[in-house]
Amino acid sequence: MTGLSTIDIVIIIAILLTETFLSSLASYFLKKSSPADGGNKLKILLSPFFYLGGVLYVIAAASNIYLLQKLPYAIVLPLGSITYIWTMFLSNRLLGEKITFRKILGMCIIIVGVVLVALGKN
Amino acid sequence: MLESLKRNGKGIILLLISAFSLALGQLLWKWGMKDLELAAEIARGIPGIWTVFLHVLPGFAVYAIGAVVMTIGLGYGELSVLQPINSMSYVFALILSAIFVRDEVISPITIVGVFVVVAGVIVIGGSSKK
Repeated sequence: MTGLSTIDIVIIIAILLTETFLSSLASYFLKKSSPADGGNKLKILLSPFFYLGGVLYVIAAASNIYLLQKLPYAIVLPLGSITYIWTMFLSNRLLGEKITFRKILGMCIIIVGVVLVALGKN
Repeated sequence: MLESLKRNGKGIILLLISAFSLALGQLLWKWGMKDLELAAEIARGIPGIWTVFLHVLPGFAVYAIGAVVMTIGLGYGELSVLQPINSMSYVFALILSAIFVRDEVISPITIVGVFVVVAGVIVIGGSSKK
């Protein structure tokens, strides 16, 4: 992490927040393109939301690769879990899904797990 | 919890399959890239066409299939329950690399982390109340 100026760090945080938000937004659009139970699954391929979600994922992945050039894998990997926090927020705002204690607990456990996985890879 | 697993069940299974495809796609990519670098070193910039066909393109295809499977899966439950299951791709990636790559030592902390991720997915998978 040596050699990073304050501006570098601000830029990295901005990219990180944007990238995780886009990744979460991508999964929202994919969900939007997906018919509920019983619907015709081929409709997915005709939905513009599917491709919008795909493009957002690619942008997020590219930003992630950029971050990996600036920061070690063991830091980038766990920070990617911010995506789950965005998803909980978006699915509450846009889809009316409830934020429950259990969901928050599960998310925190997953984040701890990802941090451990990354630590072990260091 | 059982009720949630039943309601989101199909979605959970499909998301697990897509997480697996993600890990598999990554592995194929990693192999492909390694081979390409190797080929570039040996042949001075001529990438092995077989590498492209055997690893890079299949890697893309597996990714794309994973995305479609994930999208179908998201139709079967809550986004806030299903999306975090993506984190299982780390677990699958480790298992796949332990089986096929075997060039890196997996530390005990990572193994503990894998179990913690699985526990988190179980907690969140059984959390839906609608």
